[in-house]
Amino acid sequence: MKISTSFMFDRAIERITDQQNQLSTSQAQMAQGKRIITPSDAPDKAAAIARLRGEIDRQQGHANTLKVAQERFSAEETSLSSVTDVLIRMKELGVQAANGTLGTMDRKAVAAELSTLRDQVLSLANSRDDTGNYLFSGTRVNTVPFSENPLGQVLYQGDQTQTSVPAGAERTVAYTRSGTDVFSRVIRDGSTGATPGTASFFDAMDQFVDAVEGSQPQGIQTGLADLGQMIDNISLAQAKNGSDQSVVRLQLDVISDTNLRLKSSLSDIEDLDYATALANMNKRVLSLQATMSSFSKVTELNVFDYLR
Amino acid sequence: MSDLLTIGSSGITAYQRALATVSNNIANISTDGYSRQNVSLSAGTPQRMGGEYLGTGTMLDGIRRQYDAFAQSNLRNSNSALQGQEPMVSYVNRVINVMGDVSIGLSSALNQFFSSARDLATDPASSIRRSTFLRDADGLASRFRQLDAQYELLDQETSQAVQNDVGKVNSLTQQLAQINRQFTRHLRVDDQPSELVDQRDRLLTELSGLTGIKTRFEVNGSVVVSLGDTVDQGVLVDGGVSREVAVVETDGRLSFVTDPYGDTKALPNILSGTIGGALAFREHVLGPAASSLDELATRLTQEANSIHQSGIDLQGRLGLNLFEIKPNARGAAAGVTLAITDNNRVAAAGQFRVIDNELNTSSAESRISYAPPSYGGETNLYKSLAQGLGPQITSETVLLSTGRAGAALSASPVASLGVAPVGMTDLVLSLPDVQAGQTLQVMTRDGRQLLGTALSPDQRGQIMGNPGMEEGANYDSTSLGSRFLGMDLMVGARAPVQQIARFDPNDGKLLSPTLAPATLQGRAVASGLNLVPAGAIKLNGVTLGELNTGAPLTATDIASWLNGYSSTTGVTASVLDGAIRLDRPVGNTTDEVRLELGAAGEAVQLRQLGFDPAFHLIGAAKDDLLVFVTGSPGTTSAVDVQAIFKAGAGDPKQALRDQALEVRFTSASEYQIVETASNSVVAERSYDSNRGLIRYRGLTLTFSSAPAAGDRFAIDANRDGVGNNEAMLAMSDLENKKGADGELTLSESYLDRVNQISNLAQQAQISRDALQVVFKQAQEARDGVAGVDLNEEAADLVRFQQAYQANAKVMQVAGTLFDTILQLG
Repeated sequence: MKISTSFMFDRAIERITDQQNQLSTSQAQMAQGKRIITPSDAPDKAAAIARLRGEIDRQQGHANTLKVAQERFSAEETSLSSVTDVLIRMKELGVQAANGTLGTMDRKAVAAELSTLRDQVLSLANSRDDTGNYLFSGTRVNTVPFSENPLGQVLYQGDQTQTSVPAGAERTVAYTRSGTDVFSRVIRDGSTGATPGTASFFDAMDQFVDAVEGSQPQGIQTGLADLGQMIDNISLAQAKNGSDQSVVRLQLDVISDTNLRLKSSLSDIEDLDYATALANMNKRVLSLQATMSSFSKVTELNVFDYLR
Repeated sequence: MSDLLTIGSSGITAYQRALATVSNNIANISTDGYSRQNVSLSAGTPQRMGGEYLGTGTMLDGIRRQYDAFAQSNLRNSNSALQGQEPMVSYVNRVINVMGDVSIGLSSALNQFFSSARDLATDPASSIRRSTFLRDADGLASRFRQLDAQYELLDQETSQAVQNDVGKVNSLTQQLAQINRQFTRHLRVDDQPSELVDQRDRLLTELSGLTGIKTRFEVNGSVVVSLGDTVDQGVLVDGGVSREVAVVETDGRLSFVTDPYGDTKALPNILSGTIGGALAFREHVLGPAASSLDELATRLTQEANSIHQSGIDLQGRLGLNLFEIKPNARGAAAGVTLAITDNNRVAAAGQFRVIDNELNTSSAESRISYAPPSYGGETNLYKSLAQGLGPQITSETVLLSTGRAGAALSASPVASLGVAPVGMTDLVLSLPDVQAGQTLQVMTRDGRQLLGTALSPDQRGQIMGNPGMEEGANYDSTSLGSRFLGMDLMVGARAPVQQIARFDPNDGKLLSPTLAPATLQGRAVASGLNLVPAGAIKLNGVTLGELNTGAPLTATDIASWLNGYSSTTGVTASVLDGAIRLDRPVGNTTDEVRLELGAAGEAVQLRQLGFDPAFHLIGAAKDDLLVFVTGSPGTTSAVDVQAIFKAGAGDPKQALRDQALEVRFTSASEYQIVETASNSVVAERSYDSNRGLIRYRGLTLTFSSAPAAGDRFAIDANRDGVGNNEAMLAMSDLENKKGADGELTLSESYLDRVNQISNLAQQAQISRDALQVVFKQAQEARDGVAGVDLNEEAADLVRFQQAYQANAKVMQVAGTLFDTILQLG
């Protein structure tokens, strides 16, 4: 078979170009540390890469959401534990006031302190979170949850909607808390002589302060029983808060594990293995050199050179 | 005359030619399409000299072009196939780079959008997050447009490329026709100049790179070129004539015709060459990619809008469309834009809210959700009655039957007239030929009877068994005749204040109508009416006493009976042609006339008095109203019904939002749902604490623990719950919502498309590589025959040079010999 001269040149040039292209791709891969530089480098992987990137973004988004939730929970925790402290102090004062040896004026002094403490509880119930939203007003986050009407009665202005936020695939965590779930009504069974029924948190507290102020032993007893319930209710809310926080922490751990796994999958697909890449590159340099030198050798071979 | 000199000179002449041919080969070493030429020599005709034949030297037989028709056609075909893959490979890679890219692909924009929806769900009141959400929604819309613009660019580019290629085809066919004309000078191809034949083959190869062609060669070397399946179809070049090809674009599809300005004929599709490749790319990659992007844009717009519309914004207004598709855009993806720009209008909150009463004794927390309810049975009025939108009146004949299998046919006939859906306005359903014992009954889906007579147990069984009834509904007749949900309903005849249309005599425009007192005109009073019992009829709310003259009643009797109540009813009765007419006094243009059926009345009595008994709904229906006709036991008959109304079904959800509801637990296992504005009990059911949920008109309430007696839960339209995130949660859930097409989410169906195109890209790459090998082999085969090898030429050069020198030597020898003879003398 005859090899025509131009064909031989064309083929040789083609091979050299080919190898130079490969070399330049290798070089670009090494420079970026990526095996896949543009999606068309590995069309079959393009969808997988886009999916994994999206999944990683989503996990990151979930983690951010959970961090926001965590901040809110810790704000709630702070205000709830302060409320418990205040309530315990109120109970101590109540026990003191229930003591029959105390004079009317002494009780008035106790009532003055109780009234201050009640205001403190009210202000804690109206705490805001980092973004300025009220913690205990359900979804009416811009409305003061517990406000006094002109008669001095505290009314709940928030709502009962409890929202949840997404915290991973198929997973949500409870988010806003309604004020009356935390500062919830007390139930009076009539054992302390009060009319059986319910009274709202702050109504019960006001009645207690009034009873101490007016030295009404039955009212003080009812108030003490109410305070006991209030402390229990707040503790319950604290417990819920604590369990919510631990759910969030657990979920954050899950997300960080998932993210690690996803990132390693992504890296498997698109990242470059330097050892292999370097070896490949050396191989290509070598073969390019060989091609070039063999080209010059082969083309030197020409009968004309021997015709003198 | 054979002699050395002649022989030598014939050799010199021949080898001179041979050397010239070799030089020509060497000179054309780099000429594209050049075929190596070869000299063939033959011995001269021998001469007979004394019984012997002596040679007369050599002569040049001809210069032959080294050529293999098969190798040449193989080269053309493989060139067409290879060039057909080239555009596919390069364009598909561009599509992949666009679709899979982080900065311009759709994936990242979708992720960003859903991620900011989730962020907004954590703090729906934050205006920063609202504006981030809007920014990302806008980003998503513009990403659709950008992607579409990229596709559009490729569309134009490929269309342009095809146009250019077709231009080249036309120029090549013209050149081929010219060559064909030059071929007419000789009869045989071997006589044609080699260079001309080479030129022809070069043009054919070039043409085959643009499109697959069929060829046929005539004896003189001229070629017939066609684009068809056979050589005789779609002929482009035949002899010295070439036909022009033109591109026709219809709906984005390119097709081809020959001779666009003359005898235009459609050409079959071009499948190979760069034109075929570009067409295949447009058809198999670009078209599907663009249309699937359009589908995605439509789907996103629809789903996101429906969620956004189900929410309310920061100021308690209903959500609008989030995205819109500009109607005159090239496609859905090109026209997607963000429909709202104001942060406050982002509807993040749900449209319903439940508030547990602060003083509830149980600690049950309630959650609410809404999904459009679906009821069995009729959803609108019976058959054509639903088309009775005024001024059209429609009528139907409805058969009364027991409806229950196995029950005695005549036990208690009932017929459903269908449902007057929420929002239907000013409905009149009249029974002009009502029979004795037939009664109109109006129910809610919860079994509250609003009009009619209290049902017998058998009727109750049938009506409550209607598939349109709400789950767990109980029959209740306590609402009979009450203003349920504030609705104005009645059975009887009614005449509103008359409005007489007026037109401006000058310009014919409609003026505000003149009002005239209400007048209710009856038909002739039926003969044989002997008695109207007490409490059968109410006129303007006044219950009328018994009418009994002891003889058959005349219209005059009835009119005077009615006039006996004029002072309280405010209506005077008069008789005209045996029919009764009821009038409000002159000057009263505010009150209407209502002749209602009383508690003891029957529809047929109204008809006997000359008035059509009808169910009137004045104003809009605030709940679905189920209308039935019951017959008297022992008869099975039909009833004619006429319907007319002002406005058809409204939005049940918004109607529900306008009602303030409260769920009241009367005991741990019983509850009422009360509409607090009208204080109507809309439902009264038992509570199943195992299921822990309540359903009412699409609302679902769930309870965290069992509610106790006395617990109340208020449901409202959430007009100020700015921290509520239900709609945004639904929006972020859209990310995981499977579509109808093969159960893929938005993002998945995009990636699926990327995948499909990736596969095509790989296929194109693989077949390009394979075809490249085939093409190279064809090239090698062709070059093996027609190519120039310098070594061969060098050898030939030396060979011919030596032959030339030897022949010269022969001539020299001849000269020497001649000199020798001369020296003899």
